[in-house]
Amino acid sequence: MEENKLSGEDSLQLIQQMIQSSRDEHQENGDGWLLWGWLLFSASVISCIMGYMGYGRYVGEVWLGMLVVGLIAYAFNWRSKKARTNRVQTYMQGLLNKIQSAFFISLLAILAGSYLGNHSFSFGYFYILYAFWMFIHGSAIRFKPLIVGAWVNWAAALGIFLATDFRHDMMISALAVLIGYLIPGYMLRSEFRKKMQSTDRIAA
Amino acid sequence: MEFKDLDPILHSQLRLAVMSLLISVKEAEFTFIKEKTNATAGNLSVQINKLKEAGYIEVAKQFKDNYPQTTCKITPVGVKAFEDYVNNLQSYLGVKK
Repeated sequence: MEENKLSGEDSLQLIQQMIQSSRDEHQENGDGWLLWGWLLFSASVISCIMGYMGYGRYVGEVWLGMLVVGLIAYAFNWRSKKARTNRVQTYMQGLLNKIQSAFFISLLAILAGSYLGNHSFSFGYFYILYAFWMFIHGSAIRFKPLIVGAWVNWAAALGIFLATDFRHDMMISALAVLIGYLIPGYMLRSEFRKKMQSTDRIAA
Repeated sequence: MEFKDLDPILHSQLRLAVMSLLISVKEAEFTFIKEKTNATAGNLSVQINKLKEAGYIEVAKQFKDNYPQTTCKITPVGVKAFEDYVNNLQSYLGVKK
């Protein structure tokens, strides 16, 4: 950057350009949504099939297994994120990380509360929580599919509260995850790849 | 138009670019700032040092994976100076807020 004499207009333009440039730094490849989405989707479909085959009593183990795999993957992801050299730390990324942590703590609190307190548990609570997370995340990164996904998950939560058959809960769950997590996750990944390709082209 | 009241530390193209980048992020590495401003490493180092001496930014040097890493972060004094600069600039230009 040359040291030219700055006019007032130049200064304002430079400020805007630099602020915009640092804003563009927030990038997501959708991996987290896809990992969590596939885990939830698989658990829902397996539970539904097990329900129809008469193995409904083992569904709890399926979800517990899913949760353990999810938490291990989350811990690995957190470690690799920490090890990765981030050239810039945005306020938004910091905030989204906090919201993600709060989500997982709330999730565990719901599970622990319903287990220890012996209260009746509904998957609907999960989907309200997912929707809450997705709505904030989608709004923060201005990604509409996640916001739509949040509304789908809120609707799914209501559906699960109203459904009386556990197998129907699992069908709604699979559908909500497909629309709410997996489709936006693949869209995020596709956008990320396009962005990376255009950045490479500019760099070349 | 003269800009006598504008902070001379900030009224420089590269220093203003660095401050504008840092105002919107928590912290940024030297390499990131260099890439975004298209400045040479030498010139950028000099300007970053001036901003540091003015108390507008904090500079942390450390080693990560055996490589030196310089990280810059805006200070509250820097934020105030930047806000004042933008306000003064807007009033000179007659920009309505």
